Amino acid sequence: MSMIEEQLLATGPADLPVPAQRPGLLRRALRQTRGRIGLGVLLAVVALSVAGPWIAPHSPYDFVAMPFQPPDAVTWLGADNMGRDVLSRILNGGWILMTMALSATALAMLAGTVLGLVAGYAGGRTDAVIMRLLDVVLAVPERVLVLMFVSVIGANQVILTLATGLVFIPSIARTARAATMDIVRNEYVEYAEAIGMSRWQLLRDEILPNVTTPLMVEAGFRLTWSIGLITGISFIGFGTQPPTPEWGLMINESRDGLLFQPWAVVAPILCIAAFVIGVNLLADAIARAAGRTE
Amino acid sequence: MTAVVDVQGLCVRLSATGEEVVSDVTFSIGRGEILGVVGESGSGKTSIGMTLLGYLRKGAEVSAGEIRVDGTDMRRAPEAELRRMRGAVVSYIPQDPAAALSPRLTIGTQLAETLSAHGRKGRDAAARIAAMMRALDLPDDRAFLRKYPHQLSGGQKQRICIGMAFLLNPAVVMLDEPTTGLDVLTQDSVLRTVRRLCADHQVAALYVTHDLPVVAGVAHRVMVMKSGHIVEQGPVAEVFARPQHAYTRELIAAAPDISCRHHFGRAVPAPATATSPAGPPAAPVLRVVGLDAHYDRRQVLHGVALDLAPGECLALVGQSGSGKSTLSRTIIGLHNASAGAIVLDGETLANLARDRTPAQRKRLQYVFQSPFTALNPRRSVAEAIAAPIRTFGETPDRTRIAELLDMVSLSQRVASLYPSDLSGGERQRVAIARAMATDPDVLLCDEITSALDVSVQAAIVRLLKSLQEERQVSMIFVTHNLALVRSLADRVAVMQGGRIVETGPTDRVLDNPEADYTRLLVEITPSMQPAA
Repeated sequence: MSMIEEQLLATGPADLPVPAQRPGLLRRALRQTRGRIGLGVLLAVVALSVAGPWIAPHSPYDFVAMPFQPPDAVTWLGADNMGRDVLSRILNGGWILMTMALSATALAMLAGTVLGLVAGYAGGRTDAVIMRLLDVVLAVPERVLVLMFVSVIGANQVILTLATGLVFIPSIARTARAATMDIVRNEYVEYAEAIGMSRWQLLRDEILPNVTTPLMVEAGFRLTWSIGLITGISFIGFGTQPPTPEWGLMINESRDGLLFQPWAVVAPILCIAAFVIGVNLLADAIARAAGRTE
Repeated sequence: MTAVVDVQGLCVRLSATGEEVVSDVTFSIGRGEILGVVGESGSGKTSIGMTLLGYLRKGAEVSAGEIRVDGTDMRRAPEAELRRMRGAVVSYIPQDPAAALSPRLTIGTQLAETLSAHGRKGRDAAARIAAMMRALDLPDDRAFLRKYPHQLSGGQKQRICIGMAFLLNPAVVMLDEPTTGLDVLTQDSVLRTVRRLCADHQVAALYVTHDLPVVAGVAHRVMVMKSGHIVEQGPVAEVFARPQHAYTRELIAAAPDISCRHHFGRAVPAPATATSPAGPPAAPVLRVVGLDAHYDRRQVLHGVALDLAPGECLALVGQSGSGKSTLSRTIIGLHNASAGAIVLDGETLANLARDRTPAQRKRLQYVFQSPFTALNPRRSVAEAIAAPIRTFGETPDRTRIAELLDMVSLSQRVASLYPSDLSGGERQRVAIARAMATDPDVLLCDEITSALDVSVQAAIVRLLKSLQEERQVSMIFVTHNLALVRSLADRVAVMQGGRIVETGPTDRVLDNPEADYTRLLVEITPSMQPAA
């Protein structure tokens, strides 16, 4: 099971029915080369991050060499600006970024899906109120809004994760709402209304299972974006705080030594790139698989 | 009569599997002749028609045989020649005019495109379009030509498509179920237009349909198809009066006809409740009194009143837009009534289903028109049937679901399948089982057979009759198909413009209609019986 699927299962309000009749979306996505490559890259990055803290040769906080020490037998990727082992910090920093990106996306998916379903199903005034409120969020550029939150409330991982989740809510809600409005016209939804099924049950059983496809595609792309956003904000110092190892922050800390110890900067960049590319390829494959059949 | 279309030993197969969808089909059509092709979905009738245009859908290919249209060998003609012929020599009238016309272009532009594609422009083209509009009984002024498809009615759109097909005086026209989505009045005028144009221009036509009475009314000869084979062909009157092949007899037996009561293979005892003279009339199970309903500001129901006796089947007929669907939706509580009352066994019902008591909702159930959107694609059949039971606070057990599947003659194997695994008829059976799951007293059926083949329709009607007899369910059957009414309903209510213009026992209303509108509907409904 890929992270995106876990993502979605975490998002569903209760039990998300698994489509059983035809090859699932994920299976169809993995029939494409891009889907397989994406999943492979992603799994490699995830495996490295999860196992990292156990296989790291040093503590990420210990000063084991001279600042900007080039790679040698002790520090395989050299040392950073304060003489800490780059490899150990890379191995320890992955899961922090992953947790933040995943939580932000999960949060946005949960809130966005619920808001979108309610707006799309209720229509009228409820729809107008929800969507105008979300338009306010949408009106401010994502990065600016996140920066505003972390600079006003506090520059730490929790606030950064929450803010990232918040700025993604409107686009997810819009996707969910558009898909819902298509589904609501179906006679099986009218039937559920005619037998007096509760609104909550109706949203959960009749509508949600039929809008998972566009939402899965959306989840993949939001995850990609959240990685970029979180590392970007961390880079400029408003996210993860030193001395915590985090890939975005590491680029910033060691950028002075780019010329004589490039590994301290290039290694986290490569990790972030692999992570983003893996998620993006997989998300793209899912989107193609979804577009092909529905 | 010289043959304009001459097809010899035509075979069409799917390239992927090599499966033959049309096998060894031979026929010809003469000038001014209309050949009806009848058969059920998947019988290959549309594929045959498409080969006349030198076209087949992706994945299918002509594997053997000869197709000559106006002397040209369509299998060997180069693509440029085929392009020249399409529209000018052989043209096509599609099933769904709404999908065939571009929503972004005016109809005038689209008509002119047909001409300019074949090098005819300017004043001559405009005059030709105007003449065609007159032939179609459409306004020929420029204001009308500047309209967009969405500003026209379904019948007008179909006539524009017919006009496009006839604009270049083709020798052959292929019609693919051109009246399927239209109601009887519109169907009648479209059929008359087609017949007249074919006669006037001496056009050979291939008319593909599954509606036998329509063929009886429009075609000279008929060809009956079954799984890619011609089972019978001959003059219409002869084939329908003395069908030679067992399948033709089956089809004719399954097709309801307005002029006689069909039994669909089962003896139907005279309905006891509606016509029995003895005893006091049973109190109606459902009463509708002075019902008004609006869409925004437009009033679509005007003081509608109805009574439904226990165990009775009432047919609600009328054209599209007559308000019959709004009436049934209002009764079930999906549409707000603005005045009047709906009384179920003495209890006045709240406007919306949500505000009614569970007991009331349970007793009144609805079966929707389209088998394709009535079931949630992500729910298995068992879950779909269990949903109403669960909603009313009971636990659906295996035996209850088995019983319900059995009631609608579906095998137990179906329980774990999803709607996409089922045919239209099977889905509609699931929808009926779902409605019957709450043991309702009143079942509303909204055009539930309009998307189905005749033999499937016959089976569904048979099922409804048996439910009515065995479970004493009262039924309101909404339809625009008068032929079906004769075979199914005890009483008929005819709707026009949001009002009920006539009600009465089925035979009385269809044989001696009192309202002018009913008389018109009865007259124009195509029948396979020769006019008496």
